[in-house]
Amino acid sequence: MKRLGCDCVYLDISHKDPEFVTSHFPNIYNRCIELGIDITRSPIPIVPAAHYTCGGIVSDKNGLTDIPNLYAIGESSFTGLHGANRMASNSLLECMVFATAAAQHIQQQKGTSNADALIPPWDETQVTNSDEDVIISHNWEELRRFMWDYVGIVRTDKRLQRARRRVQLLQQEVTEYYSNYRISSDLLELRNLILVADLIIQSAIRRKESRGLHYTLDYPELLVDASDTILVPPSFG
Amino acid sequence: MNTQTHYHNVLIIGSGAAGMTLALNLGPEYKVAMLCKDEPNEGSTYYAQGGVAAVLDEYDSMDSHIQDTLIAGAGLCHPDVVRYTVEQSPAMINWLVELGVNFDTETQADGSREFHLTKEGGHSHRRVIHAADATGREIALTLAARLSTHNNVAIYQKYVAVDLITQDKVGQAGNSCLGAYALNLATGQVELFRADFVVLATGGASKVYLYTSNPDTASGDGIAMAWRAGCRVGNLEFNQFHPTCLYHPDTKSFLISEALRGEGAKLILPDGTPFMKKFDDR
Repeated sequence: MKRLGCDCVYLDISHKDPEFVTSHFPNIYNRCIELGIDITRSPIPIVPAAHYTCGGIVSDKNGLTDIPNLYAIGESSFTGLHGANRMASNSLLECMVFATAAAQHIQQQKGTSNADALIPPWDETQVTNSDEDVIISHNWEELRRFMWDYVGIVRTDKRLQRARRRVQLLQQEVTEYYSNYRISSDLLELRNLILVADLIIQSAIRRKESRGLHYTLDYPELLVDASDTILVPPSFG
Repeated sequence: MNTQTHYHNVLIIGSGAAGMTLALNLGPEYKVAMLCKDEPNEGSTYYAQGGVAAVLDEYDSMDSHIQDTLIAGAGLCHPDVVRYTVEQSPAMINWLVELGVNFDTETQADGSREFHLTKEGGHSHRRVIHAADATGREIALTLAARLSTHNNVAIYQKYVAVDLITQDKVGQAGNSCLGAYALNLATGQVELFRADFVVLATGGASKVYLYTSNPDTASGDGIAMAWRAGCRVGNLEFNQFHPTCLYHPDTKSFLISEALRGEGAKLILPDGTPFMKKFDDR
């Protein structure tokens, strides 16, 4: 698409028996009909789109993370199941297996109670209401656009470095905004997205090979030894 | 203003298949809170079209499912974790069926009904149990209906988790998790959720990209909160892009399942010429 400069390509199943199509794909058929596309008669306009995050929070077979009493399960976790590319329909299985294991593990930890733990209340005496909400919508669009262009399906060192510089700038702005203004749902999501984007870029920069879903023009070959990319936070341990 | 405070034994952040399965597996003596940012069914589970991979066919085997997963993972799967996960697949399907999930069946030559299994990319057998092309919705609705009968689980809708609370963050020795702060969207106030155990079931982060097949909730909240709290993260450079997402000005985030190509749909250019043959003969 980048090469041809077209907005989309098409997926065509109109050569199949309409009855087969509507009975096997009723959900897709109905949704497309609502938009004026009859998939039994005409092709479907499509683009590629980000679909699944294979990596995530390091967690063990019980879903336990590096932090005691904290579990991560499902797509947010990194269990080692998916490797460099998830196989279709293994992700719901992973949700079920690790959720079941985590529930069992929690129920084995008798005697853990934080009922009386001293936790300070949320302090918002230092913040005011924002009059600059445009920064959120602007940074939101900027982030998702450069991630698509520079950290998408085909990567290079230059594109990743360019993305890294931009994400650091956004991070400064949002951190400052976060500490000065009352929080909103959009601000919280943007703050998280920028951080995860930074972690994705850092991970991609470290991988000096093309493997699975990570493809870079600068290192098209596969290294002999396969190893995970593990990032360690400043507050680890 | 005082911070409103809650206490539960288990705080689950996220209400997809993972979070609901965990809640359903906790005994009635556990007081559970489940936070969801939006309506409970606005996660990726609800939109999953494909199905659940499981070894159910008599000609299939655990070893084959394991081998296919390892090949797809291109040398980075942890083989012990793959085996551990795959070996539990029949038990997980049984559990879902017992809860009332209606997977598609078909009539066999001898007149009996058996589950219809589809074959998806990378699988060398028919192995994917499904409910038409809306498996996630069937699973999500069934789990949610069952969960509504569990009086020990309180669902907090329109609560956005802000950050995890750990011992060292509040000046205590150790780094155990003590709960989380969450923004109540109805009041605009941050509330304190104290808990013995906290579970992140917040889904992925595909929304970092301009085009995504995921619902709006996939903003990597759990990954970001865990990192800030001191957790390591792994293999985040591996982001899967779905080749076929509907492109239409009036809609976003609608996936066209790969099963269409599995059943013979062809990729074509705007002028009608097929193009995948140029890249791959499969």
